[in-house]
Amino acid sequence: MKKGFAVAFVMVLVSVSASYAEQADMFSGGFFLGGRALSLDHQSGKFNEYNAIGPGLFGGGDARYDNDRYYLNAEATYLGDGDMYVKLKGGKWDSFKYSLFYTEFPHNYSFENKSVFINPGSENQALPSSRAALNNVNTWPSQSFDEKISRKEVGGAVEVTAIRPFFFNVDASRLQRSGQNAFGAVDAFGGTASAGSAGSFTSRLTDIAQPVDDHTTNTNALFGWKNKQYYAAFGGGFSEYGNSAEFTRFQEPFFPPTGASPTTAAVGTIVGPPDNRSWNLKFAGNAKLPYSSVFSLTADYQQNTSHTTLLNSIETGTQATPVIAPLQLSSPAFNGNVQYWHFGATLTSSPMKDLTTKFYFKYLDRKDNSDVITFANSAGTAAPITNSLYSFQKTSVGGEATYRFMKNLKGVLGYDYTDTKREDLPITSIVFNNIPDTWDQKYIAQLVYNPLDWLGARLKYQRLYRNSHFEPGTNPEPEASTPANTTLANNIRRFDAGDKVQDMVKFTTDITPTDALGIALEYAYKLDNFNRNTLGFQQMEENEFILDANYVFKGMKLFAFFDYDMSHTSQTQRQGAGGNGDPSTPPSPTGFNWNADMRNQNYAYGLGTSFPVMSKLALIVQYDFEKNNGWANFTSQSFTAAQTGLGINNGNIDNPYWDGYTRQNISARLVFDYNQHLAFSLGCLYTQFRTNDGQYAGYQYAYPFSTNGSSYLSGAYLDQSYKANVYYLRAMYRF
Amino acid sequence: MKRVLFSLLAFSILFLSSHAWSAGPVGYAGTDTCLGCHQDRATFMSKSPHWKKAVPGAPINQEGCESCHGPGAAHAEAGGGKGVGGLVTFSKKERADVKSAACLNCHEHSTQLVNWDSGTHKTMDVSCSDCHTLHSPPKAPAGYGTTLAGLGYSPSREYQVCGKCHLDVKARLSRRSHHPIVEGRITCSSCHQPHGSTYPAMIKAPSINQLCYKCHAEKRGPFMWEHPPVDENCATCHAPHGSVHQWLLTEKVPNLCQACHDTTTHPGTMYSKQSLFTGKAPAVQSVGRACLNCHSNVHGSNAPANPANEFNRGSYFLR
Repeated sequence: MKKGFAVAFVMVLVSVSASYAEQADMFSGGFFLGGRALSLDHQSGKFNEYNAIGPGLFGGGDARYDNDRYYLNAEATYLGDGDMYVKLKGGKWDSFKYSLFYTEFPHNYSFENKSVFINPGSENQALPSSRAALNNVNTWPSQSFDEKISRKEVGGAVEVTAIRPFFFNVDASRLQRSGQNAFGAVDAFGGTASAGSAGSFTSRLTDIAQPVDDHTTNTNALFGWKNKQYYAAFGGGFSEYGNSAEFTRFQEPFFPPTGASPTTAAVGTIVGPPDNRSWNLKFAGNAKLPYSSVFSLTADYQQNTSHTTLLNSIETGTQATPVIAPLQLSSPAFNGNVQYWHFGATLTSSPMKDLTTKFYFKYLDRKDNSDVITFANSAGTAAPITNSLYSFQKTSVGGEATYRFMKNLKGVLGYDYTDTKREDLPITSIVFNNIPDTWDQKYIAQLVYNPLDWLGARLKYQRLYRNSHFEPGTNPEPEASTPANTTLANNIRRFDAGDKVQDMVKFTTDITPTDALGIALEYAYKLDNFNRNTLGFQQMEENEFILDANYVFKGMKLFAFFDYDMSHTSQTQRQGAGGNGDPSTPPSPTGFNWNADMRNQNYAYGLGTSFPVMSKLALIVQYDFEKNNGWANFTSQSFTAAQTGLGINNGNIDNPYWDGYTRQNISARLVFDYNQHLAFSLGCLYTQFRTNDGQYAGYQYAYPFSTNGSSYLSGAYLDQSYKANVYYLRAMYRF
Repeated sequence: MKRVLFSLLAFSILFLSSHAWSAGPVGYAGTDTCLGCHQDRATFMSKSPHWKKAVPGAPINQEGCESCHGPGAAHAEAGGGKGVGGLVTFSKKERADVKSAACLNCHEHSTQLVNWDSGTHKTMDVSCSDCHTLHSPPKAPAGYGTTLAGLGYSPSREYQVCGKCHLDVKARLSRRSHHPIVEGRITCSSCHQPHGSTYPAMIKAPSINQLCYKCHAEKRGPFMWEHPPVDENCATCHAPHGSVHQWLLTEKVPNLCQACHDTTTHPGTMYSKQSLFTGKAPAVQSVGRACLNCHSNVHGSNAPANPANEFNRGSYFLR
């Protein structure tokens, strides 16, 4: 249907345009039609992550009308199943413009995942009647599912400037998503979550194909007034999100492999995103003042709300005797309410020749006014649980001075102070470790130098000091209120809310010795030192070199791109406190520190050329390559015999396959310009992606648990590696 | 005699003024003179709004080519040549503010440019002509990351223009996990306002989260069980331009999660090679999606919490 619509639209474009073809000055356009053949080694979500490249036809067209007053551009393209767009833009020059669009494209994650359920992707997922067969993936129901989301969006916008000095903008869009996600649900019946022993698998898990069926409608409007000296605009927006698949129910598959199945299959529930609404108001204005000054002011208010009717029962009990237990809720529904306030003021001036200054103030307040819900179990055997509300305020003041030393040399000095206050308010008496307040001081120095017509350079240095105020807690989590956990919690610092010193250097140069040759070089260095973290990230370091070059010579174009990026993150943690969470204490068999060094060495390059093979015939060849060598080095503080048996010692715990991958694309196409209207293109593309990641090596769908039952995994993201050849022929006609 | 003198004076004034009218303002050579040598620069321009007579402020209704390049009489009289006559040629050597001023003379009224003075691009000497070409059509997508172009999938020219200076961003857009910019689904300006903004990193919303929620409304909540770093800054865990890690993450899971979570139970466990499928003690917290195997609702959850059972709680983002 959609394909037909796209084809019909193109035909209308072509026929209407052709009928006016004699008015060549006003009408232009064209259309293309092509066919593709595909050879793919297996279905992979990664191959078509955002596309729908498949065998078959593709095509499209565009038409442009442009007279002295009005213009209209229409474009439609069908690229594959579920992948197309139609766009229309028009208006009257300097008076108004409008646009309409419809786009449709997939977001594919992972294909041909397996499921223990007979109806994956539905809102009530059931096990097969013969549940004893579930421990063997080969006897699972034959239904598989693809983790993918289809996105369809329609919208439009109008901008009116004819009523100058007033202006008016309005836009609206609606996005519809459908598909399914892989959602892992942990066993509800007490699979242990502690460290494993040799040959065992900790915890039980079921991958579920969670249905996705939602829509988002956005509308925005802005009305303003502007003259040479002042600008003021008021606007607002409304956004509504609706989820038609908020609750997904599934039968819990866990049962002792050698015993009888539970007499009653417990039904668990996944809760997806709630329906929500968001509306906002904003004001923006500025005024031109003496000394070439501009004062800008912005104020924004946004309120996000949501509503969920809460489940008032939950599965619990044991595998043998699952129970759906009622819960006592302080309220049957949760109403979310988060407000954002934002103010910003900026004053930019040129108080003297060659000097420009900028001072600013910014304030952002996120205030959570949502419902506080308390959950209690009917038997009253455990302490009630209450949600906490997270709010924060971020205040920034800063300034920068820019001075032009010479005609082509400019220096910038900047300073920024940002204060972030966080409130993670538990409503009960339980005292959490509050997320620290932080104070950032950032110093920036930059040079911009364009000494020659063909040479430009930029140098930037930035240093950030982040200080935090950490308040030790006394009881980090209600279930884990042991002294060891309290000590652990008081030693770890959340990396984005802990003390750190950051250095950043970036040097970029552009060299264009001739109009035909352009070279850009960049070096970037970044170092984060979390200097007061006992546990957590210790240091993050990144070095990057980039080259980008283009050359044109007698109709031949060449390009080269090279990127080499090395990153390193070091981390210290403590496993099992062994009764003592203090990382400074000596290790014991059950409590020891460990370090991880994660390194990524990523390099990418691209080479390409296009050149005329003969009259009217050009060849375009391109090769892109990227490789990431990722590895992790784990070092344990402990060498007890039991851990050595598990391989946990200094000698053999390194992992050379930690997000490693290789990607390469080779494309070649011949373009034959038959005449000024008609052209043909014949091409091929070889594309390959190969992952090398220990997390997916030796994948097992039904993995035995240490005592009984299994984990039922879907194989999500196991399909990422692929090899594909695409051949295509395309005819293009322009008028 | 007086009549003769008066007639001569009047004639002289009329003659001089009529001569001045035909030659245009002093120092200007006129568009026809420019096109005498630079006809090739007019082909594309003639179809642009700059050459629409219906547009009141268009150059064609003012001084033509010299509206932007400045008076060209000296250049023409000297016989032309690079650097001759003091024209604004929009070369790299020319001051950015001088080049931009030529555009802002007319475009100052644009609502898109109200924050140009406050923006980083102006500070860093980026001029209009560094991004906008007026004398030639946009170049077809070419270069690194455009191998799908022949199939009809092509990134916008915008991504390539921005990538001229933002080389590191350009490199990340082709990493294993990225937003669909090289596929042509969104553009840099979907998130950023290149003409200046008072918001951080010139994004189009007061905060990163408010920007992300525009497309990812399902992450907006508000949720009953909140994950503070998620609510404060998506960029704490995600690298929006691209990453070598899945899902645009800044570090691999489980290490990313463990940087904040360490307790005596599984968050503090060393998930090394031995905890993978092929290791001696496989752990569901390590294989595949690692922590996200079970904590699937890490962006927030409205699932209930059972005080007597920790394994299916929304408060742990498990359901």
